Amino acid sequence: MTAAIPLLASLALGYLTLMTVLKGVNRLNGPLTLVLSAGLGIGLNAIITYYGFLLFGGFGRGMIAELTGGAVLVLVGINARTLAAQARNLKWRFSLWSIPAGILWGLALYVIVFMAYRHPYGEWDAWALYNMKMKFLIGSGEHWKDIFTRLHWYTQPDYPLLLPFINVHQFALSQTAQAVVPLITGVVFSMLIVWLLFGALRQVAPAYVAFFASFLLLVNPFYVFQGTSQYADTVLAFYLLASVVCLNLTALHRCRGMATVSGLVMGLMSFTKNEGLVMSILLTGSFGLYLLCRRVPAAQKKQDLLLIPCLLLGYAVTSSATVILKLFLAPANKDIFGGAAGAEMEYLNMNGLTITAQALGKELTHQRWALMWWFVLGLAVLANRRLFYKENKIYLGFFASYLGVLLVIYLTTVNFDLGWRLKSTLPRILFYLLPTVLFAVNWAIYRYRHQPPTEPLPAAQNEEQLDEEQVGPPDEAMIQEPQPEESRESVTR
Amino acid sequence: MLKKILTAENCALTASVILCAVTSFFLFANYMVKSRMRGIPVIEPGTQFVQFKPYLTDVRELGYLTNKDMSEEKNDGFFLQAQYMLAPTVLRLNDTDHKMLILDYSKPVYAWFTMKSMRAAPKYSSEYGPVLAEQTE
Repeated sequence: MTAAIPLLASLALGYLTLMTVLKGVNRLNGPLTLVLSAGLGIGLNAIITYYGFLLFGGFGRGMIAELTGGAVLVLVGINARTLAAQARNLKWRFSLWSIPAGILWGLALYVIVFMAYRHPYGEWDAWALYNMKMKFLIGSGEHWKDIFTRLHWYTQPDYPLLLPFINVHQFALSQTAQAVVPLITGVVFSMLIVWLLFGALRQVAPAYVAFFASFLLLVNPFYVFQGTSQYADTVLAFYLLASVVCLNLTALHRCRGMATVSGLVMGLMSFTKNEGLVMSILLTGSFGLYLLCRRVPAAQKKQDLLLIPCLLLGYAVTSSATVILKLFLAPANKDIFGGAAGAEMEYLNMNGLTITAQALGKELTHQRWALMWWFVLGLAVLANRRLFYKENKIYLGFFASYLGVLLVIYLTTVNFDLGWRLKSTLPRILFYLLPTVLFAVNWAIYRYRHQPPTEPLPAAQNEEQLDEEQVGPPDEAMIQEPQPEESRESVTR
Repeated sequence: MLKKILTAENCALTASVILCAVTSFFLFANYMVKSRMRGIPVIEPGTQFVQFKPYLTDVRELGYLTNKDMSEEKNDGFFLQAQYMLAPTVLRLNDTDHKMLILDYSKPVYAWFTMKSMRAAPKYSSEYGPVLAEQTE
């Protein structure tokens, strides 16, 4: 029961941060606000714990509780008026649809918890890297920095530490046994990913559509297995999806507050894994390029360009943890671009490319995915040209560049057998990309369902007009609920 | 009429519902298989080293000596399991410059030979094979 305390503290911190950044004009729908708050809060608390370790020299329950409580109290003070107003106007909307949805989610949660208890210590990398580091952070006192200098390189001492610090925070504020903490984190993030997907799609699609699109993940046996494996990939999958959703909304509504939230989330992603760091840089680049290339009138271009510093501000706040870790604490990575140090790269040739392509094809069609990637392909075909429309270009650019980076990393493998590396990493890469890919194809289908771009674009004027009509005042245009057919049509037209 | 029904959105929704139903069946089958294994205990990684813990309460680092295949492809022998179980004590792989040593050899005779050559005395010998030893000099 006490396991709920740190989660509630995280929810409060995340919600208050959202309110502070969005300046009280948050009009995201309820599920999206809740899930973003929870994810943001859990990550921020982990970062606070990390800074606590740096400042106070190691683990301390009291220190972590005081820092968490202090952060929440400061934000309550800043948002006191808005909170009071919200409490007065609190409305509870109930729809009949929420009953079967709640029952199905409850059943899925039971199954996930059951499956999690069938491998309570997680899978190999989970206990060998992340859970071991959590034990180390809790038990090593002032010598916690030995993680970077004294542990063997098999324990990946250069890896960012968001997941171990999430677990340390969870452990510090609850009476939960050490071994159970990572299990809870795995289950919580597995559910948060599904609810985030639901909340994000709910903005443009009816509830039942968003429900089925997201519930697909929860009933996929391999998703359940990976989600409960206690890997950092589950956390990464959440922050990747959250980053894409936030960037999408930022581009759509030119909302500066949302740009800052996107930056905060991407900074958390960079502290999750090395892949997260790469993905956050690529997403920022893809987003910046999209804004620069978007053909809009000069006044809107100015608004567009103002989004970039807001995003970078948020990114700087949370990615500062990664920067400190990478520059001052962690050793260099030995696995990636190892060849740069002069080692012979035996896979940087046609043979390496063939092995990689075959492994990818085999993995995508593997039965453990239960037809999921065929389904994604089918949706992509249905979405057709809508996939390449407007803000969808952000994540298309991201996916293309990230796949390119992955290819380079595989081809420059030096410390392992490439076949073994592909076999042990590809399922996990596809796992953390899957929720975002599902979001991308579903968003493309439902967002522009009434007005797909039937005409080619040569008329720059036409494009300008589209953008002008689509955009409202920057902070007020956030979609709250799926609008009635006519108004949605007017938004997209 | 058909064009109105066969929209991308309707097709996507239908496919989602069908796939949900199919994968629910897979998940249920998976659940049934796992629930039959309910009575089988799950062993914590590194259990073969758990008995060394009481002897290492104040030990910050120790040497882990082994002749097993330490490649990542072969799952690092048992090194990472030992590191997980004994954290926050740092295990230094094949490093003999420590007073406390864990000897994890493929045959007991190798462990005893190593102890003899290093003038180390066994502190605890696990029934799973590894030996915790202390260098006397």
